[in-house]
Amino acid sequence: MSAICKLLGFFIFAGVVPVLSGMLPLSLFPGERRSFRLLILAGYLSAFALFELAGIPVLLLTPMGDFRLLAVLYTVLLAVWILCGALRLHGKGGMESAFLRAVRARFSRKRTDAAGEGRRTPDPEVLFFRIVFFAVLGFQLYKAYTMASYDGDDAYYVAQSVQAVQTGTMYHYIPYTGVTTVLDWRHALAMLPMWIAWVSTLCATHPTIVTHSMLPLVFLPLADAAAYSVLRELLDAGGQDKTWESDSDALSAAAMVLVEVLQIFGNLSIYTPESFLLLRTWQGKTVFVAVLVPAAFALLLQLGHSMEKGERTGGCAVLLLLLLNLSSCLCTSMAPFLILGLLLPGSLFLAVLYRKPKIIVTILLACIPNLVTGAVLFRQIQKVYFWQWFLGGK
Amino acid sequence: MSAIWNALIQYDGDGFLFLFYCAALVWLFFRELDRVNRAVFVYLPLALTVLFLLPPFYILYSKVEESDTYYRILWLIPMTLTVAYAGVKLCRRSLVRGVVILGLILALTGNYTYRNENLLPAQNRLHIPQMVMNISDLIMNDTGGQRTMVAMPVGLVQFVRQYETKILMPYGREMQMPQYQNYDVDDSVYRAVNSEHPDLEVLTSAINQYNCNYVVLETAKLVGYNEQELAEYDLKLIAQTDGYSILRNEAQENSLTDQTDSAEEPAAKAEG
Repeated sequence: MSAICKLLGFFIFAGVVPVLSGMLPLSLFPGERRSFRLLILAGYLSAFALFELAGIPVLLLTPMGDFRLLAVLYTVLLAVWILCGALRLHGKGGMESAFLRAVRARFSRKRTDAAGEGRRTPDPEVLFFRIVFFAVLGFQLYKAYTMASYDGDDAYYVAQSVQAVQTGTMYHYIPYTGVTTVLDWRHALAMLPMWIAWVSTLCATHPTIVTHSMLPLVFLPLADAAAYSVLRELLDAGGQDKTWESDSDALSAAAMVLVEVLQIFGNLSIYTPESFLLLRTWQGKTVFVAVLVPAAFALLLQLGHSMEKGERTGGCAVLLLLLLNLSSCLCTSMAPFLILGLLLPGSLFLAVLYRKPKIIVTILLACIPNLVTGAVLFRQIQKVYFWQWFLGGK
Repeated sequence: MSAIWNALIQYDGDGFLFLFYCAALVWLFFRELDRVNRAVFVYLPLALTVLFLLPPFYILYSKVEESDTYYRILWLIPMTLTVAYAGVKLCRRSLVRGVVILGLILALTGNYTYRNENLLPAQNRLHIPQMVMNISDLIMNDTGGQRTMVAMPVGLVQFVRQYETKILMPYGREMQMPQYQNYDVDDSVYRAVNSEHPDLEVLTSAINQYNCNYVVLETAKLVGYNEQELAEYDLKLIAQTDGYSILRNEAQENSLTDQTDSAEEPAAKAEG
């Protein structure tokens, strides 16, 4: 019973709570744009961004990085964020996602929908691909729970989470040996291990159990949600694609099956995103490559399609980009640079397409967290190199 | 230029993902009509691919970050999504048959992840070797839950502190990492503990130098030593488990005791 309660607690704090965090950003979008997949993406981006915003000051301004203070502060922040989101979303008409419409239509006693058409029977093709997709996802989750992947980097990241929970400090012990040290700037700004420690504290579970056994149950579907968001943006766009019959439901479901196949058979080398996703699901690098990079593409596509239709959702997409950039700082120290290398050229292409140089400036503003993080890291690394040179080291 | 090609070849491994991606990109270049999709999903990744192949960019990257992580630029290129997107658009007239055929091709030319040599059946919910937990629990029982310094065989060091951070070690996983090889560190403990035939005099001198309260050795390496001989070197065998022997160093008083009152039960930790 205790293990079941802890598992439930994990799904609440690592699953439900992050998703609910998406209500506030989602409320800024017009009603027809509020989809469930956008709620999931916006939610996790919000949760990660808030943690980074709360974590950095606590790390820098408290002795040894007070993890317990951060846990309380973040929980309160998140609760306020979710409450504001719920109130605002309710005030702006709620969520009218295709998912909710489908659920209502399925259980509705009315024979016709609002347009007066007969009740739609599910497309057999869509049903087939969705069944296959969920079966394959279930297989991946089963393997993630029952198979152990021994990765050397866990000696750093997982040990940091365990250290935070057991000592209440952050990044002031060498995880390999347990000896105290000065703040490890190279890795400290990437606070995903601390977020994992927060989850494990709230569900009263050893951080290593949370990391290895439980997190894949959430991060694997999250990666699929990010991929699905990109594919829907691509496939729903077919406005000018007059030569093809538009059926984005079936195409996106079919594409997701192919994505799953590529994930399972993608262990071509230790460097591919697919290898990271299935073998190192819980690491910041994996969250970056499997969730944030697709999210960046989805947001750039959404921004472009909004401009194409003359919609005023550009600001909302930029807000999500800001949350994305903060989340990238949480994942790994290289992520801010890499995501900058994606978003700036992306903004350039959109600016050329629509002849609006303002797009570059707007996206650059959303990249301020990356620039700040990069400047801090660069300065700290320069200091380390200087002292190594000065002391005659390598 | 060869370094760039090496990075690409190592990334693609023994598969054809990059080839499939190039084919998908070319197909989309000619058949994708939506201009936003073209800008973001065709031209942008194409530009990033060209950038990746440019030597000046490689040189710039190497100045900022280690050159053996250059492959991470390829993470910005959505190869999987491009192949999937182009694939379904290509076979949309006969979707089920097309996806089945494409799926088989991708499976047969790929590498099944769950056959990876680093993937093993989990022995517990922490997904670390059970022997590491057993050894750690025995040590923590002996110390009464207090922090302590333990010298471990190098094969165990990467797991110990993923379970219990009250166990400190004179060396850890860094001994297995290339970037630490050139650092001028005294690795006498490492050599003594991981020697094929440990010399007890050398071993005890090394562990005393690093204030180790315990040393863990493979039981097979202690064949030939009885309790009296161990006692001559102030070593006491306190437990054996999973092919390892845990020796307490009686010459070292534990100087890492906690100031706090409570000490967690190891069994409670394992329950999670």
